[in-house]
Amino acid sequence: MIDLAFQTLGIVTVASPVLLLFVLGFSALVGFKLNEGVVARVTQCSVLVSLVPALSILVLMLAVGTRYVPIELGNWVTIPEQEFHFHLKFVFDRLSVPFLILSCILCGVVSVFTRRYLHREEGYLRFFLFYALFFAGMVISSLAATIETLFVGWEMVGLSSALLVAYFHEREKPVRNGQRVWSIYRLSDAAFLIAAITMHHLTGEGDFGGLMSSGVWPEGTAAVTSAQALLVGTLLLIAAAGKSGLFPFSGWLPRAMEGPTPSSAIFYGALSVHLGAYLLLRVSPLLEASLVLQVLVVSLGIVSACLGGIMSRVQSDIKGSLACASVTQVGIIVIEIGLGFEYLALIHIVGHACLRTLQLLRAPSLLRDYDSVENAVGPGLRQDNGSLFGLCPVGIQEWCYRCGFDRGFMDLALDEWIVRPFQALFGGFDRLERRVSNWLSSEPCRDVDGSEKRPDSIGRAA
Amino acid sequence: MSDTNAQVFPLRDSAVPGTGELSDDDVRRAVAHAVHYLPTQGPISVFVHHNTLHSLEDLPFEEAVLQGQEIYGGEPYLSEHRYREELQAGRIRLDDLRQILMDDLGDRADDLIASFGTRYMVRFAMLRMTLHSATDAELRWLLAESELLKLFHEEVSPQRREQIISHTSNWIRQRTAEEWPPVVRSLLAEYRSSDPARWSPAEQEAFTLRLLWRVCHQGVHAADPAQPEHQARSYRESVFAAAGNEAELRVNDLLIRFCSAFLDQGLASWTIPRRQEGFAASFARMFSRRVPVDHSWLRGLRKDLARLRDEEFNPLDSIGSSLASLGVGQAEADRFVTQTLLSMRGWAGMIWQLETSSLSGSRSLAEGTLLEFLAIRLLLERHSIQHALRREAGGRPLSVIADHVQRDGSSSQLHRIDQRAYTVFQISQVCGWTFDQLLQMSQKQWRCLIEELDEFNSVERRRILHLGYERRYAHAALDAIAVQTRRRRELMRQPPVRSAFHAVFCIDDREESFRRHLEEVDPECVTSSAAGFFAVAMNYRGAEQAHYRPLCPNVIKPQHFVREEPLFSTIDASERRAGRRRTLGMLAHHVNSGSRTLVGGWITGILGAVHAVPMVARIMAPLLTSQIRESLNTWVRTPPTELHLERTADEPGESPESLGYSLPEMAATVVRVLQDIGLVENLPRMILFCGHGSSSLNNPHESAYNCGACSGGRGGPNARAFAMMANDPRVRGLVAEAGLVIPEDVHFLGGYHNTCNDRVEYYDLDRLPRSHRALFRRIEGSINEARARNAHERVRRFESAPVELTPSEALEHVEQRAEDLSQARPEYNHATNALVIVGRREWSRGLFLDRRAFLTSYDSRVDDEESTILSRILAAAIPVCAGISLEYYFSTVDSERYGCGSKLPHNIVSLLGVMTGASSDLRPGLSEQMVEIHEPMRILCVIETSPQKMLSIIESNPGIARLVIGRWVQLAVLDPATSRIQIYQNGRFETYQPEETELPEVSSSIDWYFKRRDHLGFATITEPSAMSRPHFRVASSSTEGGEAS
Amino acid sequence: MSELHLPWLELSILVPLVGAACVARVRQIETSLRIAVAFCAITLELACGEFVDFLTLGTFEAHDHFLFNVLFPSEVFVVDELSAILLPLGALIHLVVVMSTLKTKAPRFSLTWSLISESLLLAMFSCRASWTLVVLLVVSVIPPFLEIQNRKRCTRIYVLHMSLFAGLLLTGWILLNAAPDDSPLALLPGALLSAAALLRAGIVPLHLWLTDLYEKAAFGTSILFCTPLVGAYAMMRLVLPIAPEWALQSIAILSIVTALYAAGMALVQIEARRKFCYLCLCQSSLVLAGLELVTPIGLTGALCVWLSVGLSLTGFGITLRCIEARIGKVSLADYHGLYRQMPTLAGFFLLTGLASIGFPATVGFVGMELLIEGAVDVYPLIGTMVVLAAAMNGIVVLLAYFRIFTGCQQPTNIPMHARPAERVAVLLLTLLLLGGGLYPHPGVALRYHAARELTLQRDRRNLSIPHTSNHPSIEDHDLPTLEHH
Repeated sequence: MIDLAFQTLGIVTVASPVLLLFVLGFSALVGFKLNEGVVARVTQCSVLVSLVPALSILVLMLAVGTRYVPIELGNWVTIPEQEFHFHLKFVFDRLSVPFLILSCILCGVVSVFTRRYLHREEGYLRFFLFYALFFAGMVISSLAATIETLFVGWEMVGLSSALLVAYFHEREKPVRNGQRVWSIYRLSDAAFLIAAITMHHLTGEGDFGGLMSSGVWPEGTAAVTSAQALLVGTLLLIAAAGKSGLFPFSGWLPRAMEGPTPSSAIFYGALSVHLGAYLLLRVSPLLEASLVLQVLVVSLGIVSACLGGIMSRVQSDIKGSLACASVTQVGIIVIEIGLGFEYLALIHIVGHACLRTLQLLRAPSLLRDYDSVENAVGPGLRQDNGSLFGLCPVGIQEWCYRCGFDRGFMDLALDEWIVRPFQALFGGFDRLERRVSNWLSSEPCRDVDGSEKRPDSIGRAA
Repeated sequence: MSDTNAQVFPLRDSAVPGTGELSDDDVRRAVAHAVHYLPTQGPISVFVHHNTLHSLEDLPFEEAVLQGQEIYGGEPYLSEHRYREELQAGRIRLDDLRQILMDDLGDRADDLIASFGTRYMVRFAMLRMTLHSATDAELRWLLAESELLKLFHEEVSPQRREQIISHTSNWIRQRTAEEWPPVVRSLLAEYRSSDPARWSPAEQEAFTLRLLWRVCHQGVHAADPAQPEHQARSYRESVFAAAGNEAELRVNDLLIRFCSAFLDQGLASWTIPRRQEGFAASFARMFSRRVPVDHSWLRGLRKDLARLRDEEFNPLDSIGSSLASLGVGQAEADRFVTQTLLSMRGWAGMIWQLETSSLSGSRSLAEGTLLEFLAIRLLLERHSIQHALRREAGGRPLSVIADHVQRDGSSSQLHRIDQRAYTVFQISQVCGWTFDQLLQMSQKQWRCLIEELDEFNSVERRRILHLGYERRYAHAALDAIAVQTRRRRELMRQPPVRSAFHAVFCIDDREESFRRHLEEVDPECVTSSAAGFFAVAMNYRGAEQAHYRPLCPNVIKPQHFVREEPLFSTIDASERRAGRRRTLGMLAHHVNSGSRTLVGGWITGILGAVHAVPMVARIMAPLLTSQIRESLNTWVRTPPTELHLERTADEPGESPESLGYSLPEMAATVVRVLQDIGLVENLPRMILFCGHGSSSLNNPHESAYNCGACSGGRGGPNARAFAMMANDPRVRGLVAEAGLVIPEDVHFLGGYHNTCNDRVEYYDLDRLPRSHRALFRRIEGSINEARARNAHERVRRFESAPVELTPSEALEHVEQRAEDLSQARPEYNHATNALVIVGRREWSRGLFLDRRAFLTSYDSRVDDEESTILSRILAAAIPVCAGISLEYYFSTVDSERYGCGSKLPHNIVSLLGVMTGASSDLRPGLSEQMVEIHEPMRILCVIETSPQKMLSIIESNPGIARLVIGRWVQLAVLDPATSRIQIYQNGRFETYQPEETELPEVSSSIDWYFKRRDHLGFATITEPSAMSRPHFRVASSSTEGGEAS
Repeated sequence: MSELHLPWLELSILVPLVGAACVARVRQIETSLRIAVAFCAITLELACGEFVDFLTLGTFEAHDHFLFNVLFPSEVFVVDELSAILLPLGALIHLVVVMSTLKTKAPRFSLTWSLISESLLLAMFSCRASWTLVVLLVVSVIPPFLEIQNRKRCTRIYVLHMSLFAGLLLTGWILLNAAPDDSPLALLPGALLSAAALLRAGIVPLHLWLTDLYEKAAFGTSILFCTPLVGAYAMMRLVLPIAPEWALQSIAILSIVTALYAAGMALVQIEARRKFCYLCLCQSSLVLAGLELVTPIGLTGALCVWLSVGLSLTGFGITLRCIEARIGKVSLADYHGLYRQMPTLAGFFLLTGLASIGFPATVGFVGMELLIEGAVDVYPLIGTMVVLAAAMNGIVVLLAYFRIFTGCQQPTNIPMHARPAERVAVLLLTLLLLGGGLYPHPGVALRYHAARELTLQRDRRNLSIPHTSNHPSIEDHDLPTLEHH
């Protein structure tokens, strides 16, 4: 009886966002224009239909005393002879329930906010479509019990984030930044995928439960050797660093502040930026299996937090400043995870997400807030260059400022050390190919040669 | 812009090498020239509306918008599509267009074009129809895949269609195959039968169109109008076209971040190192530092910067040598520098503003910062271009640029033959030209036709359409005024009685409806208006404020300082509360800035879940949350206060004894205002002066919603000060000496109207004589009712508010709007403004103006023969209203270039302005959400005076003359005694012949606007005999807005 | 061997030929388009009939119904689990390409030849290793050649590569049949055949003809020539049964290198068509890599990805083609801002693009996972390269989407919505892509079964010749007709 209730509630929780995505996506695809009110109402309903069962499950769990409720949806794909399972399984436990409820509440608040904020906006439906994609991804990845399921949600979150950064697509800048976010996501997701496959190899299946031989989160212990844990853990750490904007990927977070305010708030400020930390929490038993890995995690956290701290002090635009501040806090959360304070990290995630959402949502009120503080306290409160930092030698101060100004040189390093050589290499190949083709052929091998960069050139379009 | 700049600079001839370094004077001149075009908006917290094309105000409007297009890339008018919609909706009328086109063409109207139509006919057809245009590839697709060659243009009437089709088939049938021209023969060859009569109607139509298309195509091709399209590309644009877009983007990216850090007013917690040493020094210091990884394009820069840092830096030298190395000669220098500065015009303009005007409370910049900015920018551009061209230039210096540029500039030829044929094809359908007529045209005639089409291009068409757009509104307005003055003349036959009370508001268009409703609610009241600072030009500091802020038009530099102070008896309590405020403020500050640091962030982060409660509450129930906060706030709010208004020292200043005004100054202020509004006799017992302002959340542009006459401040304190002055018996004594007797039983009362949530506050109610309390209660009641009705009229424009709200619900709705974090449109501000009426309220009272008119009270009977009063009113009113109207105009016609785009992705930067998204240029101007319902028109001023007086005012007032003669505003004068209106045209006044003689009559405003969302026409409201519509009255209990302070 | 209930195969080969004859006689573009679509639809129905029929038989392979015996020698046309599904795929690809052909394109894109090549393709897919297949493979390269020549473009690169292909193929096949066992030359025919198949698949550095084809032939032709992955099919039929494992797995490495190279090249291209070309090359190389891994998992993955690539790249290609039809050749150096003009196409573009990279909930997702799993199984390090290539493809797709659909809008702003035919074509593909993605199990199970049978057969054959199983040797009397089933 209880099991049935759990099953039903669990399935409803997951199904509702997926259904929402389906409804909005289908209507967009066949070109059926829903009006603003309907879209908002459907969305709010869907969030509510996810939130209420989630809360009920929480109550039931507390009442019954169980701390682990798996929802089996069976195998999506299975090849028994090859021991290949693509397992659809969700789990409600001490980690996923708070995170799920947090996601639902924040998404719900933002959908109410957005309804008024994007009123009369041309891309209203588009926003809510991406929002639905994000919400579904968030619910799936927070409840995922297997690494493949997590990956599905993870990818959905990534895609929706990139598209939302590029939401104002008439301008180039958001699009460029969206593209950048997507590229970083894709590359770090590659690490995730490799980790998932490796895990498959080690344990035969992608179940997190299988990875941890016993116990419910966070008590489990890893069923793999420390070397294996190090391998998988490092890969997952790369994935988490990409998603959470940790070192050396922090550069994308301030750039992501291109979309409308609510999307910046919820997606980069609050939820998706914590997804990496959430992943690390999910596999925390793995971290404990390897000391080296723990050191890695902690040092990554420290570097990110320090760089974030420096960056956020230098940023002179409000959204950028808040984004960099998020990097700092996520860095600290990662340190906490590395040190084994899982509950503290969880509380920190929840608190930080709420705080940052509110701060970002009211970012346009900044002038007013400054005014009111100044009116209350008196003039001359604007900058506190003093503090400890003022005691450092000028050279260090200036160096730190430059470091913050260039956002920890992280983007620069990626551009100069990875993108440029890559482009140079393949650009070289391209030129080589062109030369060979031209040599082989009796005419220039490319139509665009000569009329390059001109969009409307009348090519042989056929 | 002078003509020398307007001309297109020829691309550099490679034979002429760079003419060496420009002299310092050249550079200085070029910069001085360029600075002129920078936007003049200062920090966003003191937003002042002014003409976006202020720099081009010397030119006539039509030329200026074209210049603007060239300089800023902004659209001159709305899109043709928009005008077309208005044409369909009847907002633009064909009759008007005919007239305008006739006037515009003059003698050329009747020239024959294409042998069977006059120029006027062709142009009119082009105006009337929707002319589609497409690129060549699109056109090919359209021809093959759409109904283009199957169905007639959607605007062709059925009769004309029939006519053309039957003409075509008859023509074919009447001739033998031998007589057919080749084009007909080849087309018919594709059909099975050559007898059109046997085809189905659809086939006939398709055949007609295909034939027509082929003929048009053939004709245009034969005429071969493919003269190379002259691309008016400047040297700078060519340079960047050669170097690639990327070259400019990376310079912008770096400089935006640097500028925002350098100009920061305190957003970041670290200041940029060596800010005090200046822009260039700070930049050099920062970027000459060795860092682990640097942009590859900046590698060469470090050497330059080290030199710049260690040696004496002269920006002029640096600019000169940068220009020389970029290959900019003297001839191009002006234009090049202008475009360089305009490429980041928001930031450059802000630097210039901070450099030149010392604004209170902001860090101003040292003189010469803009020059340093330019020097650095050019330095960066030089390196960026060099980097971009390194492969082609092979590491050689930039002297090769000129060659690149020339090569690139020569290859821009557009194939537009097909497109022209497409245009002819569409016009001939609408005009009913048949293919045989077209076939008979000679090559010369074709060329003539094509030239005509090119001449009457989109911009020209839009100009005419725009004139039609403005004319429709102007005529409707003038008709309405003529009719209304006639009506009012009849009503005013009765002898004047002393009104119950008098209310004075700002001239703001948003107060129009408020006044109208107040007059409807209480017919015995009289309202009038004066510029909202009520001649009290002061620096004001409220009891809870940290700084003085000027409350007067931004052209005035106020000398007087006024403070709000707690009443003497509450000084201790006030101190205590100020202490609590300080504690809370410090806490808020630490939480806010701490949350962005490492340790502070950790603490706030851990405790952050607490934030969920207020966040959810504020978003789900904004109004309720704000009420709760409000009631909690009583704990810290300052107790009753008074103004420190009277000065004891001789000279005004900031020290306690020199605060305020002397008695003669007060008297002068009182006399001036009362004369302006013509309130010199028959004063009622109570006169309410009402300043205005607006408060909204999450709105960086909040100050733009405030009173324009108070430089974006709130006008309440001005009204309060004025009332205090006028109530002072000693002042009244002095006033009486000036011949203006204020009876003893007259009491002045100050108030403040919040135009966003429609609340009204009254000041100094404790000083109200007991004898006036009953009257006050009546006023309060009427105002409360008027508030609700005003809110009701306002919400009809908000799409998110249901149309069937009652006034009290509407009031609640607007209150909620003001407290809503997610509301991008707390109010529509001045949007839809279109009219200025200067004259006695008697003439316009009861005229429904749809919140679109600035109303300025002026009584010509009080004025002298030289129109001293009128000219001082107009000297302020016309420029201010024109500024507002033109800023709205430009932000509407091109909200990306002239306005600040959508406000949704706005990001406050440096506490100075907004950027779009993560990093962009500073965005001056108005946002899309502010102007979305605006009808961009030049404002129409209707002034109650005689043409001679007006002409003499124009003559003696260069500020007005520039606007009026350049047609930046439309001007008309009104003689109320005869309702005769004369319009200013080409330097003189011409009598206007009204088109309508009747106005719709309604018994109240509600009847006219209820359940309608769009722009409304004029109507007259019959003088109500009894209280109207009891069910719409707000219950007297809900008067919480009117609390004393 | 079982027999199909109806002569599906022969019919589906004949019908397009008849269609080609009809189309050739009609002069009016619209009518000929309609006829072509009708014939393609009929062919698709027949192919589907074949598939369903084959499923109900439940065997590994089946030959055609003996009805037109007079026309074709018996047992020429045989389907097995590998090809049974490829027939409907090939027919579907042709149908949607023809359907989405606009009238503007018709003069450039020859309907007759596309129908003929459909017939050739289906014939190929109904053949097993035999002379017929070899001849068909050679003949099928002719239609694009004629088209390029018709357009007065230089055919040199294409001719060079394709004659090399034909030469290698024919020599290899002749040698295979002629060479005695155990001779030192025994490796040669296999090598020649592999080289031919790889050339047809466009392995680096022999891929120049591919870019050249995309440049010079009609886009539709290029899509039809590449997306059914004929090279991979040739590899499966001609090389897989005879080549030793080490050889196959080195081919797999070669394919992965190609995939990586193509993914990198796709990233730096600034021309939409070339980008598509490299994307296509990358994906087909991944399929090839999976096929050559010869592990059941890898094979299953490759077969799944094969279907997904066929569907999604065709969809992606025709969406791109629709856009080109409207605005001319698309350069990706600028942002075109077409979203407002064609929002539906934008949606399709994104969807098919994401499907082609195996985004979750599309048909390629599970296949890609399996493929990666297989690759990692065999070569742990190189396997990760597959992941990298897939990641880069993802970047490419979104980059192309952004460049085409976002940015400042054109001032003309004529709405250019998808035509009904285009819409139906892409919607059909989309439904298949999403349907297969959301309910992948049956498809995967089917593919797995095929993969297992294929490996089993291979193993069995290797076992049956014990002395050659460990070292390279080609020895097949019965290879042309694997009859002992």
